[in-house]
Amino acid sequence: MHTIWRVVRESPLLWRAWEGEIVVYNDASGDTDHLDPLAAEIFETLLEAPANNDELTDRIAQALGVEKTTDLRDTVASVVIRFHGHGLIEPVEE
Amino acid sequence: MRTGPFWTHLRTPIRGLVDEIATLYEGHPISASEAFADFHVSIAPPISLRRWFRPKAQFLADGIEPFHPLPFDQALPMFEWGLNWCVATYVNHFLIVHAAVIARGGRAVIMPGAPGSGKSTLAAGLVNRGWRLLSDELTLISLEDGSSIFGLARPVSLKNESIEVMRRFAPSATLSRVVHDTAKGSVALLKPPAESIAQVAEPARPAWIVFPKYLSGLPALLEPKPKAAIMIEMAKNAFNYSTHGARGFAILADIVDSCACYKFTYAGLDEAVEIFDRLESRH
Repeated sequence: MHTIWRVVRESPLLWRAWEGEIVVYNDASGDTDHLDPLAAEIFETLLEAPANNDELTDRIAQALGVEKTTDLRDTVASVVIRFHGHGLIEPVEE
Repeated sequence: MRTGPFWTHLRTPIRGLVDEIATLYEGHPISASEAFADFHVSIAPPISLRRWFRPKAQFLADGIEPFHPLPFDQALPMFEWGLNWCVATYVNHFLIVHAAVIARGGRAVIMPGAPGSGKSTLAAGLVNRGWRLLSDELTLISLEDGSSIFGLARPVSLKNESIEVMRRFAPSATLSRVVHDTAKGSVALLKPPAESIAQVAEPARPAWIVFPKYLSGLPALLEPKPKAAIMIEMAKNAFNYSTHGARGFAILADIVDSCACYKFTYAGLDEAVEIFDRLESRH
């Protein structure tokens, strides 16, 4: 529930940002992901510092200037699940 | 025969095929030497009893048969599909994107597109109005500098209605006979303009990426397309992107960075030529 996430360190990732979107390449899997503006914001936020879902939702709400709603929390959580599934982020060992 | 960076050694007993290739590939260097070729291909009747009552042609590349034999009269398009297969399968010293590519003044337009999108027809039209053909199918990007695009200047494969469209648009262009009932419908090959063949060794720099789509009955429209979406499409259309890993990503991303990116819908070639000419003149 309170897992802290960070962008993976062992697998080299390459990414390029255009007009608020990001395309990220995972050299470990060979996969290329297209991150829409919200997913790109989440990725960049995790690049700055590890965070759990709650902290991440706070930072995203602040960055986008929106209310921290349940919808936003759920969206962030689903993006985090997707990032983890695609090998872009990993839990921080405490 | 040399087409751009590749030598192809063809062996065939089919006299008609040789004549058709000689017409369509006129101007490309020919060598009688068998010393070296990138691709050793043959097109010949397969060894079976059927050859006597329902003749077929079999394409082999270094002994490998990528397709089932096809009716004899489809030997010419089979040769084209076979050469495309050879480049896409064996060549790894270029990053290869499934896209038409044309150029003017050393600056290239890369035009990816699904089969049926109209990219070959558009390329054929533009190269008959002052643009140079590098390829209607295969964009070869140098791995050395990551940006030079090399051409093949091979015949353009026209399908179905686009054959008549090109006959009307460029009546003096050389077209092969129409081969009917292929897996892609009716097919005819258009010989590239002589200037395209003469300049085939000159690389071009990517300047535009345009995703064309033929849409009947609507005015032509050139609209910016988001670069992230373009990058994903370019990666999907690159035959050997995964082979080149991080280097492939970096090359494609640099190209997307440096190019103006558009989607383009068109219904008529005259209008398309005007729009491409304006595009070239304002950049």
